[in-house]
Amino acid sequence: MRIKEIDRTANIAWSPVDQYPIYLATGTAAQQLDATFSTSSSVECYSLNLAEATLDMPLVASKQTECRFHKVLWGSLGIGTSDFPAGVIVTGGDNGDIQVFNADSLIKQDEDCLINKLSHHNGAVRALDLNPFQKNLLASGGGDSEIYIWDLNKTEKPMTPGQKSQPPEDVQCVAWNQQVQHILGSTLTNRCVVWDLRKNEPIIKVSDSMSRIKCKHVVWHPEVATQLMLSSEDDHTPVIQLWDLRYATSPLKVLENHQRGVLSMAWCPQDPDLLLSCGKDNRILCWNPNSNIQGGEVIYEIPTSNQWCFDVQWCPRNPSLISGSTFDGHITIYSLMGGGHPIQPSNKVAESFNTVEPFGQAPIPVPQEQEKVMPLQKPPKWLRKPVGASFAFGGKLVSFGHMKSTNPQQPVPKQVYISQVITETEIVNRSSQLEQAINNNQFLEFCAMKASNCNDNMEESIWNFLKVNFEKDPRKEFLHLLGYDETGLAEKKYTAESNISEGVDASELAQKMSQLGTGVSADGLMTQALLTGNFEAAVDMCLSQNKMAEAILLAIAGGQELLSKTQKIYFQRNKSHLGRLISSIVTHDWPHIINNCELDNWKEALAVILTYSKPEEFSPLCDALASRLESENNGQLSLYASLCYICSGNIERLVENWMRNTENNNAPMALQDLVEKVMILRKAVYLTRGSISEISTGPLADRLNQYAGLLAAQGNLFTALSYLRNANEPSLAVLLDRLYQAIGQPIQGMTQPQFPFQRVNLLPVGVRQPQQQQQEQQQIRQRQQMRGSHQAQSKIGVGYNQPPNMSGPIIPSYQESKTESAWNDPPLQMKRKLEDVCRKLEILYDKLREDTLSQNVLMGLHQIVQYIQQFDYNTCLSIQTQMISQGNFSEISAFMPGVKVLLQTASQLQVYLQ
Amino acid sequence: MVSVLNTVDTAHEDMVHDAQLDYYGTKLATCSSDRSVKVFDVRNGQQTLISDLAGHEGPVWQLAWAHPMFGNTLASCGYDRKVIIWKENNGTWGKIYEYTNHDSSVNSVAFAPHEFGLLLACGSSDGTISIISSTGDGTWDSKKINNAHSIGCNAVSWAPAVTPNSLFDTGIRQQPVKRIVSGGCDNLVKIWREEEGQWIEEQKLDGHSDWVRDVAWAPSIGLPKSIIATCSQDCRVIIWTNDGSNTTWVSKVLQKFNDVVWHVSWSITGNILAVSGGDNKVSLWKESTEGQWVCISDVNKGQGQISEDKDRENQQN
Repeated sequence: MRIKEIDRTANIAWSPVDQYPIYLATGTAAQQLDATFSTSSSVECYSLNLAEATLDMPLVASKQTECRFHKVLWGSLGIGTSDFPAGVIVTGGDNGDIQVFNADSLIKQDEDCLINKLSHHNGAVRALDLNPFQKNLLASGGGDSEIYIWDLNKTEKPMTPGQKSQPPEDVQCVAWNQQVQHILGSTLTNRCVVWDLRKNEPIIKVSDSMSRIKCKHVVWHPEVATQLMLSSEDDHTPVIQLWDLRYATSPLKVLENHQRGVLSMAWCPQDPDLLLSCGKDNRILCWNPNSNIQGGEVIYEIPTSNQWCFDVQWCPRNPSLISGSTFDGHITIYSLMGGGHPIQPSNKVAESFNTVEPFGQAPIPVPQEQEKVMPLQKPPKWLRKPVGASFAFGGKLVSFGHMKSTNPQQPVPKQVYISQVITETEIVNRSSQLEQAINNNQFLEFCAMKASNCNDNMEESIWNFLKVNFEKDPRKEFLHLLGYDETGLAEKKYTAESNISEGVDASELAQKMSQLGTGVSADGLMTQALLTGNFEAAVDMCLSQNKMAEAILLAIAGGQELLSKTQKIYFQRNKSHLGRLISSIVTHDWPHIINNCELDNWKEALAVILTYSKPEEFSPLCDALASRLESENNGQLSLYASLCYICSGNIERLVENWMRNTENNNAPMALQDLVEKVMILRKAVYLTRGSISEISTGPLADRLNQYAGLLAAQGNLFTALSYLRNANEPSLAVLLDRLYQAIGQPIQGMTQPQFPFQRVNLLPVGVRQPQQQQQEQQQIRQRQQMRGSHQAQSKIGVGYNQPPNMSGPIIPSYQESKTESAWNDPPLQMKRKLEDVCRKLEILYDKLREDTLSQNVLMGLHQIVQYIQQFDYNTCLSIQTQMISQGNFSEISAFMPGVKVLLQTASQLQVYLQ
Repeated sequence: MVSVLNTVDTAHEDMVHDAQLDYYGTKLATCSSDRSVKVFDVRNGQQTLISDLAGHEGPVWQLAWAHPMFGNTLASCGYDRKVIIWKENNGTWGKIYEYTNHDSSVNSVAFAPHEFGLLLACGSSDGTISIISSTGDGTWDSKKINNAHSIGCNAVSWAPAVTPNSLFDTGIRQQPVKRIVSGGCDNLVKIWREEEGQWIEEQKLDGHSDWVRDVAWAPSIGLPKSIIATCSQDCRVIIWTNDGSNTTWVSKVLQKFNDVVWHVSWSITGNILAVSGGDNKVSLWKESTEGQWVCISDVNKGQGQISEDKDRENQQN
């Protein structure tokens, strides 16, 4: 496919592979004149602007030169350095000069871009090549069998590869071997001489004694050091020969397809199976030089102009692009990949005719859209993807590579590897630990292990709290954890008592009793009351004298009723914290403690309910305390609420608390922490209560889903599934289904989950021809049915106000739903309209039966029917309009208006034709 | 940590160009220069050939599995300019649709997120991108983006259906926007958006200096951020990110690799990128919390080879 075009008769060079963006350097071709007879010459630089879909290549720089050129090269010497950031352009002039330009300076239109002029050759320099290994080594060939080797860094004195080849002739081409850096090939008029620069002599002369070829061009095999191609420009022997220097008596292969002399060749560096050649038969051919087909295998031919094509080159950086230069003044860039995107016509052609031109020709019409050009028959190597690794569900990675075979006889097996990628190793380990603990009922051990591995106090206490859930008397153990030890307390009490040493001695009492008087003093009254057994009065008296201790002691003796009364009075008076605590304990008013305690004393509060509350009120109390911890004091103590939730076994709330208090709670590790706690706690609750509710919704379900997803991504499909197993939330269904199917075997105790998507059944498209017929018949049937229905007025295939997806006969339902109204009594106007439609459709049916309609009309009708089936009347109408505008009027005028009216009516009434 | 679970001998007669597991990871599809597409059952470590699909007339470059709501459906594309959609029907695989509207090698196929229905994007060396669709009633439709990449499109990939770029939209459109990213021989990466049934070029990302070989839009991980990975003949992988608040895409070069990078693939969860180079090496990359991309694993293709060699030794013993 033609991509770009430059109107020049010039020798060209692509910018080297390591130069980006891609440029094209041109040097006005020697010994060729165009119709202007201009003798000016220049070196120019064009940029390959692939982003623009035009044929133009913008001219970047142009420099006038004193001579014209036979050869232009662009070497990568200095690329990446400050010396020649874009490499060097080397030209071979017809005056014998070799000029070296700094490509970067040329592109920047710097006047001093010429960096060297090498004037050693006699006669025109037709042959140039830069060494692929030592970028500074230039080989040049001129007249008189002269070949020089230049060091571009030190150009004073060129070397010669050896003694001049005799007889003296013009050197046509020089080419460095692509594998061995000191081997140089050269062609003179009818022979090819290969030089070894280390030996400084020609090592082989390649000439075919059988055929008389006129060597024009030599190219080396890009990969095989001993193979080269020779092309003959002789019109009688327009062949290309493949030689192997190991058996250099006759060519290995002869490629015969050109009808006239071959002028140039290029071997693709990226794919040795591709060789381009061009010649005086105006053709550019692409060969597979490694094919064993007799006479060579042409795999592509590029349609070119009517002029000799004298040069063809691969774009080094973009191997699907090639350039071809023809003597009609064009350099054309082709893509070998075929296709034909619309290219705007170059206005250059038109422009050039505006100038006064003595040999003006008729303008060549430039096609608006290029003809579709097929791509290269043989897929080029650069499209053949050799490697790949793609992820799949469950952290699986599918990969394949291209192994080089060590033994060419035995092809490498084409293997694909399915691997498991685990990125969260720790999670996988921890998850399996957890699973093991749960399966083996090793909860205590697990919690102890977790607690001892914690380096955070809070975490440690959480794990300890979790752990005691599995102990015999969890509430007592919780107390221990809060720092209230029963035995410790007993000891403390003991020491406290011994300090006070307030033992009451019987004798002492007797002594004191004797001193009690029964006078009118308060004490006396008291004694009286006591002695008479009037506890109530005694208590009252004690109270009035603020003798609380005595009052309570007496109240105890006075019975339950009196006691509570006294307690109440006591608590009313005693407002100390301790008093209140005692009050609550005595009155069993736990909610009061929970709701009123100082939050800093949450531990005490928790201890109280742990000690005293009844099992059924314990959990709500814990939760209430936790809620306070979360909501009050700006949530500073919120973290401790989790301990309360652990005590109460409230998993949902624990999760919520955790989410509030965990930074980055989406991180895999955090999730793992949570899941460990939750699973252990659930187990504990299960053990104590004997049952546990399923997790179905809420934040915990979300987290477990997330966790299952995480495990799934690490390939732990079974474990992941176990976390989802009992979840019945729809959002989990997708993962559940995917896990179940991925495991790919029946799982005990689990039924196959429902497929969570609505299935769409894709229907194949049949072979075109039978389908068309079928459709046609179907169409006739359909029309006939419609016709019948129109006549009968009740049998119309119309579902009135029916959902579009309803199937089967519609008539009954229509009659059921609309018996009394509209349809049986259509507006007169519409009735007439429909009758008219009927008549017109009759005409259509006749035509269909006679098969007199043209293909175009049939196609259109098919389309309409298709869209009717989709209830897309607008598209139907637009197709219909299109048919009318394009079709043969006399052919369709008889029925088309009927179709139109039918469609319009159907559309207006929202009726579905079936 | 990467360990080979299953080594599947595909018995292809020429180079393998793509291998893809289906949605569940239980079926493996492979394609090759030998013009065939093969489907294997790889459940529980087995490797049973289910079908050997012939229909292409040239190398088959790439494969894509459709979402299971469309049944067991597979798309393939190749040098013969064809896109073929294959489907299993009662245990038998067959061709259900063939698209021949490209003028050159079709290099890439990708199914859209299932939310959009059955939509298949195809990138071709003729420079165009086709979007093939079917509603399941036997009709197949196609649209074309002409001149997507001059002289060839090498890769296409769909944006996830939950497009987080809510700020781009005026809020009128509630439906997720369809977007495609493509890479081509013009060294460009382009983002396309569907608007009123037309595909328009939304963004042109210029960063590679040679052919873009592959593009991959990362699955959404719930953040308002879009991530695209692209790799190129220039041996580089670029991660392009858009934070969802504007149209700027920030590029970050992963590293310069030693060889052409042919393929990039995101994990299903979207946090790991697998990079495959011409030197047969696969490396896995992950974004660190500091926003740096770090290589977490270097998988030599050899690994498979090594384990396979071990197998051989075992067999000999």
